[in-house]
Amino acid sequence: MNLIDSKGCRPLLLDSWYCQTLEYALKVTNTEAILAQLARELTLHPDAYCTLTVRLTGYTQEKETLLQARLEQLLEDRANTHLEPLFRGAGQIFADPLYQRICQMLPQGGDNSALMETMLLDAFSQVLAEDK
Amino acid sequence: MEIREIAISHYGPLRDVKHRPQPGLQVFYGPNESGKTLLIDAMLKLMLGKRLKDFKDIDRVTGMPQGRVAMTFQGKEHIFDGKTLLEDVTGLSSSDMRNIFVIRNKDLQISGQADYFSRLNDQLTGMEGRRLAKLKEIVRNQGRMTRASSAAQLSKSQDFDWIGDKVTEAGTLAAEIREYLDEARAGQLDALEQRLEESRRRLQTLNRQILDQEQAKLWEEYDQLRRQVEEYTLRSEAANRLLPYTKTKFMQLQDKASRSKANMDTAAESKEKLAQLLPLLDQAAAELAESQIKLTPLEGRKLLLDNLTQQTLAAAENSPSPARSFLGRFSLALFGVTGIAMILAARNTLPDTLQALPYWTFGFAMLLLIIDKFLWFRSLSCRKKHALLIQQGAAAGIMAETIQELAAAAAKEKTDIDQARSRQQQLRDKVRSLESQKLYLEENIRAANILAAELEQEVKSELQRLAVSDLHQFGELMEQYNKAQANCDDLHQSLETAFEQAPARTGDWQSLLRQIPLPPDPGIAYAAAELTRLRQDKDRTVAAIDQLQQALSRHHSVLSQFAAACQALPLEKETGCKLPAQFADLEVLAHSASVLELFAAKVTETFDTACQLMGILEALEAQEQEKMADLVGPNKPVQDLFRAITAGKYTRVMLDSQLNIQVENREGLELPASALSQGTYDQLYLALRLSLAQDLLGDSPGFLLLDDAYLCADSTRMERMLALLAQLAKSGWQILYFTMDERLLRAAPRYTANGIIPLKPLLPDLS
Repeated sequence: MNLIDSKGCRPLLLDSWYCQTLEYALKVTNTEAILAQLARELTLHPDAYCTLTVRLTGYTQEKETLLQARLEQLLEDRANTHLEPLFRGAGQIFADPLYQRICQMLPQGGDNSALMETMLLDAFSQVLAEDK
Repeated sequence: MEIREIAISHYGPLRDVKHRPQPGLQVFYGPNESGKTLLIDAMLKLMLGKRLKDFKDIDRVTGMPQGRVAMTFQGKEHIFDGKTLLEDVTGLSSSDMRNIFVIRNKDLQISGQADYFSRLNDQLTGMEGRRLAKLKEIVRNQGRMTRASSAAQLSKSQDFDWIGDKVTEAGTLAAEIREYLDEARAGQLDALEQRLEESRRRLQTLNRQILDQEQAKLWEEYDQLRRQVEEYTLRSEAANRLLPYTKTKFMQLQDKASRSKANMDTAAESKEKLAQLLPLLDQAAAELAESQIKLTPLEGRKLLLDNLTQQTLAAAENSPSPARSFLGRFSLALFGVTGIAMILAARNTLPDTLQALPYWTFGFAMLLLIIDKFLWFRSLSCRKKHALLIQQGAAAGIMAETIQELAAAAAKEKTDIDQARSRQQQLRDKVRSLESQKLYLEENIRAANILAAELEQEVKSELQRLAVSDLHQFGELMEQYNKAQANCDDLHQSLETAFEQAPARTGDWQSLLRQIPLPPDPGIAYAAAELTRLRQDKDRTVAAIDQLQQALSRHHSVLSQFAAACQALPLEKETGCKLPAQFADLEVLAHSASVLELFAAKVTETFDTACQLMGILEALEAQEQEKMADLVGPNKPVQDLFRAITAGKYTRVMLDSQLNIQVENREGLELPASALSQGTYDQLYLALRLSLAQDLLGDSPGFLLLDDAYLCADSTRMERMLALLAQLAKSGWQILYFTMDERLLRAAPRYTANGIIPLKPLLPDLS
């Protein structure tokens, strides 16, 4: 890792114990990309030296249990890694015709498209919870 | 959909009620208190179970009725008894029944009209009016908008924690901070800040170095203490090994040895005394024997002397009294006096008073003479006895001429014998005393010898047990023990001072040492001079920091004000960036300005996004609104029905933007439903209900339950309504009309072939 102090920035081999948190925000279509990124970043934090927390938030199209199982499989060789699956399965939302109609009307590629998508998912999540 | 049978065995005052209504218009007639309303209540409860939230005043009788309602639906017969429910079979809910199929107490209004229309519209058309409304409300909350509209503003109300004001405040504060940053940098406050920061870093370094040195000192003190404890343990063990050779023990042994020697001395002394005593004893014994030899013959003579002495003394006592010569001479004198007296008497010269004198004197003289003679004879006997005694004395070797000499000689000899006896007794006592002394000395010698031997043996055994040859060696070991103990005592004092307490168990310093947490090994050696130098350096640095802080005090005051202002804003909640409670320098201040701008930007971005999303939802909602109008669209039955009931007075029914019913009269004037007369209003809603029912049921005809719905209508309107119901009945609907109105009773046969079903009064008719 890079250490920045009064002497400037220099690479430092971590051979002593440290704690690290990796946080990922899941969106509608980035589940696979996030899993690939997680697999890459896990190699940067050796299990022998690092107490690692992997925190995933946001929404995924996959079923929550299936995605959690994939994550656990990814982390099964790591004894000092703690998974915090704070994401929500949004399969029901994605299948909702009204959500699909709204998605079609969302502007594509705008600066705030990700935020709008998140807000919409949060809103649908609440509506579906109320209807249950 | 047709009700085939109504059977109520028990519901309040209703008992064993059973009706088989006919298809089409079926009128039930009964006066007041005949149970019309209760019967409808019971039917609703059996059909809807407990899902009766849309019906008011339905619990005139509490609890569920006993009975059933038989109904055909889509060619099948269903029995509703409160367990199998209408909603499960037909999909018709409590609100559908309340708003369409049951008309009670002339109430044809639709409950919660806008919401019901919206839900019904969603249900009928598959549209999302209600969900869109909910989404809009949620998006409004997400964007903290003044209302659920894309044209809304960022809220400044308490509902959203005055977020609009806070964004404005954050923007102003960020601008003020930027301005102050420019001023401060121009005034080289940043240079001072930098020096202050360097001094602080220097202070941190010094503190760390001091801490290291203090830890090193602590470590050294601990190590020294540990070594002292170990040394104490070793010395204590050494002292313990010499523990048997204590001074007390030595003194005990020495005392025993001394006592042994004293006893031996006593025995020797006693032997010496005994040696001196034995000749004296022999001499005394010899003298005693000699005295015994001498005294034995004298014992017989003493008896003789005793006897002689007794007789002599008795004879001496009986010796003639010297008074005898006096008595003889006195009697002679008295005889002379008697002669003189007689002469005088003969001469008569004797006074008369002394005439008896010669007689008295003569008699007295005679008496004295007799006594004198007696005494003389007695003296003679004594002299003979004395002579005999003197002869006896002479025979015994005591030569005496008188009895007194004899007595004195005998007494003297007897005294000599007594003296000899006394002397013998003294000798005997002396011998006894000497023998007693001899025995005592012998016993003393024996006891002293035994005790001396025992003590000596004890000392030898103890020395043997302690593996020392003699007391001298013991003494040397005792000296060693005393030295070891003194060493321990010195260390004990030192350790007690170091620990500031004594161990609970004597000498158990290890336990106290274990109670002291092991200081970390600092990895450096403690140097007192270095620590002093570091502390002095620290004092100088602190003084320099104080000076710089004074110079920067106003600056820091401003920083504090900015920090306090930032703390009042929900920056961490909105941006995830936590600002410190105090701003240390311009760098942090600059960071705070960035966080404030980020805060404003994030809130604004969320609001803008929410507005944008709201716009999309509004567009969708507009599409839905268009379809909502289909509920009362031009092709819906409500138009024809209402037109027919009102005989063409009103030509069109429609919904306004708020989903309120409006009508248009034949003159083209649009009126709200509330502007209509009561009768027209009822007709409008009956038409609307029938239209909605057809929408709900499609081609399948339904049923209506009416509880004197037209009691207030005039005869003409009633006829018109009955005609409408009859027309509805012809299309397959079943209408169950419960009434007490005799006008309707008379008019009904003109519109239905079904006979009137009479309802019996629940109470006896008192009239």
